[in-house]
Amino acid sequence: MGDSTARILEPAVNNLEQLDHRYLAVLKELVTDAIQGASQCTESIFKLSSAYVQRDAFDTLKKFYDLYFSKSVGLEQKKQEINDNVDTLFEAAVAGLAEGLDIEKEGVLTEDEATKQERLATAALQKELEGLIVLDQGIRGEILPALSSMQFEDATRQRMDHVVKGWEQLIPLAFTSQGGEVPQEAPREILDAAMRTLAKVTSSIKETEDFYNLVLQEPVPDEVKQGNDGGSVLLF
Amino acid sequence: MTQPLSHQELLERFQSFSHASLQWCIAESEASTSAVSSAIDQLMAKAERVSKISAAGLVALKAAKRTLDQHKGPAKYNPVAINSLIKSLQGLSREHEEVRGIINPIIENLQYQDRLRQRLENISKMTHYWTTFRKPVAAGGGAGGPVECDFLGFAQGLAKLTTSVEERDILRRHFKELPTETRVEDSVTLF
Repeated sequence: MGDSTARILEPAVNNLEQLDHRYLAVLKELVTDAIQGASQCTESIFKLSSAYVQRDAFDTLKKFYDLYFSKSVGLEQKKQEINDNVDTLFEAAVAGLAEGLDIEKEGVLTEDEATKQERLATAALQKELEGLIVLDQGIRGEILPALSSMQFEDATRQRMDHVVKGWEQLIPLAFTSQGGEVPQEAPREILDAAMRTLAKVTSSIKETEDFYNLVLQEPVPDEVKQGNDGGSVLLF
Repeated sequence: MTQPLSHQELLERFQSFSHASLQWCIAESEASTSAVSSAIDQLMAKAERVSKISAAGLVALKAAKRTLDQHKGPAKYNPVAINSLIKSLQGLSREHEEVRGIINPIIENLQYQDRLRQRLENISKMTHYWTTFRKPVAAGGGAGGPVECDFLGFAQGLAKLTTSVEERDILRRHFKELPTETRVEDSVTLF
């Protein structure tokens, strides 16, 4: 890869690769900055809410927020780790059952303890929040601005993350090298498979519809519609 | 099953999806001023809290809520009106200490929302600019010969689509060709 001189005359593929690589690096930073902005919006709503929300409800809400949008580990990474772990467990359980094993006794289900604690803590706090909301409609009204800001932050993070990941997966397909030959575009079957894989990443109903309409240019299949849960645990 | 696509066709379709995602986030960002309006409603419903606010502070809070309600929602969002509201709230915050703890988070929220909306709009424009710029370079690759790529021109084109020093600093980290600029105060002044 050449250095950053103003005008470079090279085989097009080198220039294109460099152009894409550098723009994607810019895009990632811009998106990280935008997501930080969404987080700052939520933080300011929390500050405002602290002036009137009942102390217990506010503390529970704040704990849930801190845990869900953990500052120590990226949200998507944490969610992905939890999902990966659940998927792995599921696959291990299916395989174990097929072999006739008692999956609990045989120790097939060995969820990582830290992941388990995190998952349980988030779930427990969400239950506590839901409990507060069900018991007291007044509290629901009080915490609604903060909750809606959290939902906005969550949805923005997810959609932006999917955009960046999509570009990162699609761009390299222009430079597939086969057997040391000059890099060239990936075969069309691979491109089609890449689109289908990206479709599975979409989470909200609107995002899935957009992807099917604009990228696949076909209607959303019924099984996908039915399996779509809104893409967020922040549903109250 | 759709017809197999070329890489360029796929990128163009994904660019449309990328644009739709950003527009959705922008619309949601504009709509989220309603969260501030709801929070003011909740605050006003707390008698013990309201009793600590001066008459002038209450009048100003009600006026702020009216302005927010007029401009909440994607179709009604008006950056000029929101900026004018921010300025009047800043004046109120300076003059009335008892409402500062309430007013300042409102100002912060409106400023962050407006900045977020701007950043998302700029990302959308820049990504479109990139996909358009790369097209002839990609086509040149198909011909097999050397193709000139004006990295400085590309970076300058991106810089024109920014509205803040921070965005241009990000560009400069990846496009060293861009000259440094004299720092001037950003249009968004946060606390």
